[in-house]
Amino acid sequence: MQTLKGIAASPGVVIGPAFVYTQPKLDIPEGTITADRLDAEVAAFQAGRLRAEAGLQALVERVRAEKGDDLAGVFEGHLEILMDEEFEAQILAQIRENHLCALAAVRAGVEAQRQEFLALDDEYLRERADDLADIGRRLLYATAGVEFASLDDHPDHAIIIARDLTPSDTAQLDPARVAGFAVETGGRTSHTAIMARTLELPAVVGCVGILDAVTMGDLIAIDGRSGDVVIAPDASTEAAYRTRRAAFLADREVMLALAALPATTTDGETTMLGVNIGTPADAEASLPWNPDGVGLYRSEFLFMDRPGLPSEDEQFKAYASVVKAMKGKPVVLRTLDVGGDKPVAAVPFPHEDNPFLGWRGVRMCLYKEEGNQDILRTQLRAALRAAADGEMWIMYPMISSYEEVVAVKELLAQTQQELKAAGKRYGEVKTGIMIETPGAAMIADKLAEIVDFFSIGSNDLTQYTLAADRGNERVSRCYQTFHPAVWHLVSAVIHAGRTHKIPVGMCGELAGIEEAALPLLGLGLDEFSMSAQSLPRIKRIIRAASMEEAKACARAVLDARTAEEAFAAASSAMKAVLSRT
Amino acid sequence: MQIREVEIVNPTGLHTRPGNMFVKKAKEYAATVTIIKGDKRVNAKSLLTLMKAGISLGDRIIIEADGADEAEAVAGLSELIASFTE
Repeated sequence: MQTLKGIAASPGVVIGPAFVYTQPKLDIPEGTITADRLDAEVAAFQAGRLRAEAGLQALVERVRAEKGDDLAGVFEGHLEILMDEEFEAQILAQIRENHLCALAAVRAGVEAQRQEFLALDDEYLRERADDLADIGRRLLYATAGVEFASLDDHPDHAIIIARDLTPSDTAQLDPARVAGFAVETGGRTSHTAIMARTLELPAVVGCVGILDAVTMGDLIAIDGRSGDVVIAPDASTEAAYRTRRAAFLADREVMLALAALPATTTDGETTMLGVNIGTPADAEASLPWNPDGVGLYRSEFLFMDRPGLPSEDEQFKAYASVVKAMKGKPVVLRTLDVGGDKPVAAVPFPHEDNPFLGWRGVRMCLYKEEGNQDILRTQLRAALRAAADGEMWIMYPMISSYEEVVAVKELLAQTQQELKAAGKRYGEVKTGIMIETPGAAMIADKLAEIVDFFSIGSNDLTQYTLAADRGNERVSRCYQTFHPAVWHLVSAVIHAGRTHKIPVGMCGELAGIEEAALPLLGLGLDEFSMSAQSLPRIKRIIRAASMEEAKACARAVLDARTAEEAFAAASSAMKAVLSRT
Repeated sequence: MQIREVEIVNPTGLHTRPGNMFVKKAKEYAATVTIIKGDKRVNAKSLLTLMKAGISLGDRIIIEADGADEAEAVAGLSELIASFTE
């Protein structure tokens, strides 16, 4: 038995067999080979292809038995491409004509095919480039004779152990067959962590040493609330984890029961609780928690991990499926929010010394000389069309001036005109902005005159107010969520919204922190948006409190001299309220 | 050599699962089978090239077979295309 400690990334307790997902580094010789080696390299490729075929065939059979013909058909397609005669001819030509070794020939052949697919007009076909990458990886490892676990190969109810998972890895995961994750790298906001919370699967990230410590098939117990990972637990530890799991599931039932009730205080004030999502699948997954809407739909997920931009139709489909899933409840779609710190391949980002203060969010889309307005126009067209199917609110990130709001509103009006002229079906939208720069917060009363809603992005607002990079561990003590300065700005923004009668929401981490619920409620926040699983915990606090208590708590937080004092005040108020439940 | 023109009647065309079934069937024949769409000629026994040809609903394509069982190939493959529904 061995115990490791990582970062608690997604709540839940689970015990299951480890599936170690690693991609050993292959040493692919560069340069050409001599003529006498050609036959041997051809033979090596052919042998590798047969091994890959056997592996894929086994996968097809297993998937057919476990998941049925539909999914098995996908891998049968992979099999067909692996054994494709044109594909084979191309790789053989790389060996015989270009004198590459088998591994280099496979790599070159796969890449050539991928590029051809990426160049096609059809969305569906372009996406097949990912299939080719999967097939190519399988073939490459088989040719090298290196054991390679594809993510598709894991047994049911496995705990996935990896260095980290990329979006393309997780895209092929079937959540119903995975029990949890424990990965070597990453933090609470890494892709693996966010995805695990969305899927409601327990996860521990940043678990240093786990790849060395675990062998395929080991029994593993993880607690995604504490970050504990136990490898090969002894009988008593295993029993303890089974008890913890039962308690967690029972608690979850209680939380689900809360989902049906409104977030109403003891004296009858009702607040909206929304969810943060990245994909249509997240919207579906949030429905059991009964959110009052989507408070933040991060559209950038559609733009990531692909060479080109998503087409208007592809965006329309995604947006429309989210507004339809929410059945008339508002969906706040945030327009593309990327920058030098989180780039997308389709947009060339120049090097910046300080990307957090640079060309990101709406700036990247708006500033004409950079020619990216078309990205925003396409997105707005898709959003306006989707608005015909539900309640669509469009929100612009990284606003720091009044002129920017005027500019995006002009762009929106032009887009509406274009759709109208083209006779396309579209719907009405509300226009709002993220308040995440201190500059925008300070002029919130002016901005409130020209928008329909605000949403406070507490993460960026905190880091910009305190000049502390939230990803930089050396200054993590400076990044203080409860710093009174941040709360004064939040208070001013809510006040401006109230004065101009527009709703003010919050979609950053702060909205999902239990200790923050009372003071935010007391300041008069109209909507809290967070991950679906956090909803009932926040709701439980709101339902137990009165507005008077919440206001007193907010005053204490604003009155504090330090983050520590503010947190202490909020925490003791929360405990007092919860002690009555 | 035998040729026949057919129309694609299934919504997803020949680049998805039906394409896979089509290629499997084409491989059953000894004849060389070529699909002609406009000025593109592709090997019907290669799913990769067939996919890249982007054959979709409503397209008219020519099936060309050359070899001992060319008549059976053209008949069998035309029938298969007409039977696709997904």
